[in-house]
Amino acid sequence: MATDRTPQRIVLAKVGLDGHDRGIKVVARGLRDAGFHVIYSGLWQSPDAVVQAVQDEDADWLGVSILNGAHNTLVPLLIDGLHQRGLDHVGLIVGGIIPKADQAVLQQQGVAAFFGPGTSIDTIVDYLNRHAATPR
Amino acid sequence: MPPRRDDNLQELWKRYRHGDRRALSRLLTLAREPGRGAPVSAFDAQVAGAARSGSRVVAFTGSAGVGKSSLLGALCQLLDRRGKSIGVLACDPESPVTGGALLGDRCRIAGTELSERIFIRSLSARTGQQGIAEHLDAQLDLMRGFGFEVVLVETVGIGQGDTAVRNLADVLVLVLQPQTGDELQWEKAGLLEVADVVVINKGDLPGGDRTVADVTQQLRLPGRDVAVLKTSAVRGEGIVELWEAIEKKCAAAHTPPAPAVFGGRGAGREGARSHSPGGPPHPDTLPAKTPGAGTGPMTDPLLADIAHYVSQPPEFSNEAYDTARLCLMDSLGCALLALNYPDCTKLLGPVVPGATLSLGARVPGTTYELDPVQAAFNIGCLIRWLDYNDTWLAAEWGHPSDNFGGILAVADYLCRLQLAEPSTLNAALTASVTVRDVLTAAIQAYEIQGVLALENAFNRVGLDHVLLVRIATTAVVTRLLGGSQPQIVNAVSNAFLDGGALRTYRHAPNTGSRKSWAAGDATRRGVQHALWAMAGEMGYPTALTAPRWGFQDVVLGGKPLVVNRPLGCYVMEHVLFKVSYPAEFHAQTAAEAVVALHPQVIGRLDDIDHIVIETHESAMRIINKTGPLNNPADRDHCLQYITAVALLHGTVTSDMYEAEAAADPRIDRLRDRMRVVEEPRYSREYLDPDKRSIANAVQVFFTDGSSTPRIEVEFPLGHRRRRAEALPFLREKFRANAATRFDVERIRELVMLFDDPDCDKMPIDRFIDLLVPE
Repeated sequence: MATDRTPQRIVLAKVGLDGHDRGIKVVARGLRDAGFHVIYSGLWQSPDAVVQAVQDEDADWLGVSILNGAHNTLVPLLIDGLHQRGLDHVGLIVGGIIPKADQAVLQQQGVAAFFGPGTSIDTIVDYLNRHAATPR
Repeated sequence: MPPRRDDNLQELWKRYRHGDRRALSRLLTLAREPGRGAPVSAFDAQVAGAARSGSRVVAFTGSAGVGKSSLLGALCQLLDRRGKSIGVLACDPESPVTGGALLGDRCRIAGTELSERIFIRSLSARTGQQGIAEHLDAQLDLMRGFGFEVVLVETVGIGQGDTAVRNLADVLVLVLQPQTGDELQWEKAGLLEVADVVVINKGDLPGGDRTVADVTQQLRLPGRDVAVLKTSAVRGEGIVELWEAIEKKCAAAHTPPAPAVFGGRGAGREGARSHSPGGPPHPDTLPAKTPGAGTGPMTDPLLADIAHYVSQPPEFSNEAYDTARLCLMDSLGCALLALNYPDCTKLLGPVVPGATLSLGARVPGTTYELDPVQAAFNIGCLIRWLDYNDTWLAAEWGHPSDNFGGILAVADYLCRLQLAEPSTLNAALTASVTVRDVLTAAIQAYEIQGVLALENAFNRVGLDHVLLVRIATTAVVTRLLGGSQPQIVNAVSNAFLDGGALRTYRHAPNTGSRKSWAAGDATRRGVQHALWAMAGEMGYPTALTAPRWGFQDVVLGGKPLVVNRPLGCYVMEHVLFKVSYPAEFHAQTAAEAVVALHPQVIGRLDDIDHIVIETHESAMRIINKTGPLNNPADRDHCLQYITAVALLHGTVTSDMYEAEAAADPRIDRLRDRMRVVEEPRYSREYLDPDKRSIANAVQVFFTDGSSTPRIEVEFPLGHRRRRAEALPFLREKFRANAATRFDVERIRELVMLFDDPDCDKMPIDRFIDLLVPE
């Protein structure tokens, strides 16, 4: 049920030249149905624009989906951008195709969690609820 | 996983008022949850206070799928190209079952390239809320108060019956598409009756013109004047016309609002507004004889405000004039003392040997006669060299007395020009510039520099605060030269375009003597800008707010310059004099407290168990230091060191910072026993505009359980509240400084002058006569 509290807000974004948006759209609808406020950025966003969206939307989470192999370039840009704007409280989750070896490095840089192909919506919802910044 | 964010409301409001987007963003969430973290009433009052601004609020409504978001996106692009700051609130439906929502408007509005000038916030609207998000009124007030020039609201497209938004917007735009319903449909559409503008979007589809005709027909009612237009958001057609129609409706609804901010994004609040030139322009400003800015409607409000303030000053208090006289005395005294330092004097004189000006401006204590620009540098450099006269502490620091460089140089130049060639002068200048005129100019320069320093911290972006000296000098000197308001705007706009010098020379490992001549350089540049404006050189009306290339976007990263109080004589009245101890200013009151304790403690040094220093936040941040101190500059910026030497010697002198004195092992033993704690009241009152205290309290505890009284000193000698007490010290300081250049008789004459308000009538050249060697 809707409560007085704002539901958790998540910006879902596709960054860079990556047109694969089927997965992220499924996640967007799944999270909406689980009671989240989902702000979908659309395709081909720059890291700057995404970070600005996170800021302006007062989001608790940023979810990006990357399937074109540019994660080692784009994710650090996002982490840096969040930090620059004082948005360190925002949790960054990453979906798409990210090799295990890269995951370890990116996790050290600040990615909260990875949800690769095959992850169920419930897993993501459960994770986000358990790690909510503000008690819901 | 993410740490809980800080929802300290007071802090948020402060940041919001400083134009912090993140604070706006957070408050927009909290507005949805009244009561959270603060009483509802407090929140509402803040919102209501924030709401009084000149934003235009335009709401878009219409059925789902007619292209509201795309139309908004096209409009945003247009407004962005025109340099407007835009806030968007986009509502999408929220599930009544889960409370979840998929907010997709953002991507349709923003496209793939989002300008920094556009703020978009997606909101979810519950069903039964008439298509607008709950608490939209509070959120709208927040957007208005932040200072966006245009606020666009997109409602959930639920079509008929959705009239709630009417009350919240200045202009309501109803978006339709071709072939929506038949003629009967229009009959029952309640929205049509409240819309100001009706747009047939997707006008490129078949039937567009027919729908325009239908709607126009429908709206042909007495007393109704609704604009009907055809657009195509995807093709970008009709967008310019749409904005024109909206603007026309805005103008009809209200007189056009004066922008509340200097940059669009949330600047000056109440104060700024109260002195914004909302009224008709002053007659002076109408015939803009000089090219460029003038003070037309396009001029940045801050530039216009400064020009207006300088040209038509309000009545200043006697206290301001009395203080200004002391500032002049103290500045000249410090300048005379600086003449004893060869590092300083090597920079003085004409630009190159021989480039002097017979009957030009004089430099006190010397025989130079120079052009006013070079004279301004000479005087400014001398005044600042020893950093020993008045000071101003705020978000930015500085020494408004630096402006005396330009003011005195130009005043003396004008007086002597008149003596030399009376015929060449413009009629306005036939009366000599008097000491009074110089004091008035000083009050104004102090105000411009000091008020800009209240909220704008240029040090945060690495720039030196002397840039404010340049701005202030430019304004008042243009006026002294007889400049009109448009000429002042031209000059000051150019002064802003100079940007600022880097602070590099104030920080290790590059600390250097440029910090002593940087202000002279700034005041000199101010005189140069004034002379150029007087020669008819053009100005740049939106030097501050121009997108991308303006001062705010380039220098402040897009943040607006904040001016939070009307320009008057606040700064002059509140300026601080350095009269007590040569020590960092935040430690002055600690030194005073300890000097009082000295007699009780000096005999019992070995019995000291610990010493408690209660202080304010700035001191905690700047001068609370433990561990080794490397050089005199390090020591005179250490609260504990200053306290220790004052306790040991019952006074503080410059020598006590030198290596020899610092070798005394008792100092570090005392430092080890000190506990520095922040007293929240001191921190609060440091920032309180009515108090501006710089408080410290010291108490010494002995091993036998006894202690000294706790001595609290809230206001340092030299503070506004201790002016009378400081007066004898200031006179004595001037005597001592002047004694290094002049004989007793001359000094007596000068001190009498500074004490006598009648001296205000004296032409400035006669006054300067007394300050140059025979």
